[in-house]
Amino acid sequence: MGIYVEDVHLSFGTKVVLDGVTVVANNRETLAVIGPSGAGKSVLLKSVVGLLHPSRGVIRVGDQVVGGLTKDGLVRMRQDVGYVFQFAALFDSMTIADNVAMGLRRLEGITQAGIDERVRECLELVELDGLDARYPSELSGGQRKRAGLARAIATKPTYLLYDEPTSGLDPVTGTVIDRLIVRMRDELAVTGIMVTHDLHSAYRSADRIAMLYGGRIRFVGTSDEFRSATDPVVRSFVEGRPELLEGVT
Amino acid sequence: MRTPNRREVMVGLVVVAALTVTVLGALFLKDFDWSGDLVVVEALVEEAGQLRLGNAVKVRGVEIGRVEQIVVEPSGEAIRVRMRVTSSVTLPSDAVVLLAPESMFGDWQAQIVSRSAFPRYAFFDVANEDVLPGYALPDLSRLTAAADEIAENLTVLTDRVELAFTEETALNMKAAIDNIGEVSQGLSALVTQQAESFDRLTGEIQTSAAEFGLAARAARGSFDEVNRIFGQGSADTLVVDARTAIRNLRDATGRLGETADRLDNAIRMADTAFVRFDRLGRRLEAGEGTMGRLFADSALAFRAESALAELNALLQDFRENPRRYVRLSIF
Amino acid sequence: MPIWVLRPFGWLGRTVIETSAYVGRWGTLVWQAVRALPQRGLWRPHVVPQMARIGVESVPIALFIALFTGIVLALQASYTFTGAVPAYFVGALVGKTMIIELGPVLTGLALSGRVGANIAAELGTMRVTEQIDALETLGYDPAGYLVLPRLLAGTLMFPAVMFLATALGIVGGWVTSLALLDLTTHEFVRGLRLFYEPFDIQFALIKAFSFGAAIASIGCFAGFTTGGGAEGVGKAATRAVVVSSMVILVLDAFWAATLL
Repeated sequence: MGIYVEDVHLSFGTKVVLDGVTVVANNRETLAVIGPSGAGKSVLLKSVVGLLHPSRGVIRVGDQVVGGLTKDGLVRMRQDVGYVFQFAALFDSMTIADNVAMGLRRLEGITQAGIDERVRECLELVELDGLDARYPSELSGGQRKRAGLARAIATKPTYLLYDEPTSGLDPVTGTVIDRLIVRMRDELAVTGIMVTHDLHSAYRSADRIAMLYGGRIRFVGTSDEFRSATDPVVRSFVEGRPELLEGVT
Repeated sequence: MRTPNRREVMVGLVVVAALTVTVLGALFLKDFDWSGDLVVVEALVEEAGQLRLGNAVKVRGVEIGRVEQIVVEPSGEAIRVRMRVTSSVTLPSDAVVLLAPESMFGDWQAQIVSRSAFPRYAFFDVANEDVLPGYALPDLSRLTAAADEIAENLTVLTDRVELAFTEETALNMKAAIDNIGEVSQGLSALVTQQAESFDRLTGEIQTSAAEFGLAARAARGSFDEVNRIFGQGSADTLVVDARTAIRNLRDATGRLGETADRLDNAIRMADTAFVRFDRLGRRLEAGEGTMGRLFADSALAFRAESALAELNALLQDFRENPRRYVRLSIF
Repeated sequence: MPIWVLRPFGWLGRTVIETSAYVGRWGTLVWQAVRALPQRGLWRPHVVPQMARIGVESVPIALFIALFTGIVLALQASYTFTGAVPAYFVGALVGKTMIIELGPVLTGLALSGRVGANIAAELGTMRVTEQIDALETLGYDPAGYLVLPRLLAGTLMFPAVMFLATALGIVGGWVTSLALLDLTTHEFVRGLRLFYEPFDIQFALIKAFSFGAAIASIGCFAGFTTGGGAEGVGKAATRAVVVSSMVILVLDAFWAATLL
């Protein structure tokens, strides 16, 4: 039950963002997609949940082909995919509890009591219990990220997509989030894709790392393989040395 | 039922307020009567003149309601005018409805009057007690037509007199002339009733009216002459004098016809002006020949070749006090 | 053929294509919203709050504008109608103008500024902070959840706001006629009734519904198509105001041409 991305092409106008991306996140594995800013990492993630539509290629979530779903099918698929947004994307006008409950309210056959129970569980899981009546503007950046995560896992999804989960956070808070990602995989048995440009975060929370560069996957491997890769693009990223990119196509 | 929150209450309030304002406003603008104590009064008239829906219904000059409906009776022989009036007004026991212009322009009105005050008008014969008899005043174009006809009749008459002037003819004429007094009474009653003040009077109308008056007076003089001759009863002079008198009469008649034409012209000019005002004021309809009703009842005019004398007096007054007759304010 | 000859045609063609695409995307958004009508649970809870925001909160500004418009109308009418035109025409002018023209249009312009910009900024912020994407990933149809309640609220509340404004405008004209002009209530009312036709109300109502729908839908569209952070939100709000103001004036002319 993985996420399969096969030869996906996507352009905005004349600007080619994804130029034949093929990558797989296996069952119960967290795949980190790293790459420089603007490489199309978020675009890839949004294509997976059908927010963006590739011009070519196939994306499968489990056994469902994203591009071939009906409107209702897409809604059902999305209930099985949690999406953690870069800046949490919490609804400003709602309390944290309401934010977390949003996805649950779309489920069929769930009672208000069931919703409240599940909201409490999720907030507890991300250690935000007691903040349920606050509004997003009253939370710190890290708390917001966790609230966003709580909202993403509320419907007990099989898949979780993280968009820059640690960006903008201090190292300590970032580590807290990384540990949560690991817990999600281990405790909830989710298959995850996290896109990030934070290598340390990727090392800590991902099973495998894929490097997106120039609209394609440049490298895929474990943390150790990534660290020892000889590819100049990977090296320049690992070492933070842009001069290594000179002459790379 | 849960208690509504403040927001819902505010939305509700705004919606209700807007609805209330709109509905009440629309009713107010339509001149809806709030007291609700309105009664329907119906009248039958032979024709409705320029009466329109929404025109005022008046008693002694005071508005008490509006014309609600004007329909042709199924028989096609009458118009039924339905009016909605305040119930608090007691109508005269011999109430009749007189349709007449309210002012120079556009709107007419339905006046509820006592029949005894207008004995000469041919109010519609109504079989049903509940319906008031009505009568619409004729208008100016018909007056001038009448004047023309009078002139024509006189021409024919004088021609005949000249061809076969016998004593019998002369006596008939005398009888006709004697009628003048009676007819003039009726006309002046009408004129007084119809008098409206003149803000501006076009010079054309004034001049025409003056000439019309002169012509009429000359005609009157000729008739007097004829009368005098008959009174003298001397056969010799009679024929000679009558010839002269009749020539004068014929002359005067010609002039009368001419001035009637000019008056007609003036009215046409006024009509053109009215068309322009009409555009300006849209609802202010130029009542073609509305002035006519200010002058005379053409039915009377038709009846009497002898109406000349009355016209003379009327026009004299008209010339001297034009403001009493026509109101020419644009709005 | 020299290039400068072709350039204007290219510009014209591009403008036409871009405008059509813009209108098309707007229509698509509105259509998506309308298609969400059967999913009552999605939008119904949000209609009343939006009615409060779009309608109730716009009442003061609309009333303020209408009141002063009524006053100025009365003053200008009396200034213009010197001499031949009788004084009671002030009432006719104030009433007719407020009901069929200034009431709807001024309310429309005021609300395009207040409501259009508000909606565009709110939805624009949601767009750039990915809240709209988040809604979608949570299984919500954003058009049904965000656009439809605003569209309904705008369409339904605009007439209410407008009629209140119109009424107050007429009252303003009336009070001015009494206080500053030599008019009696009777004369003013006579003028007011002189040209009034029941169709005026229907005409105003048609305008109001179309203006309300235009303001709300254009505001939503501007918000949904926001790009590029805080600056984008500002641009979206500006665009909503400019476009909806223009559309209101165009619609106004359209209705006048087709219905009068």
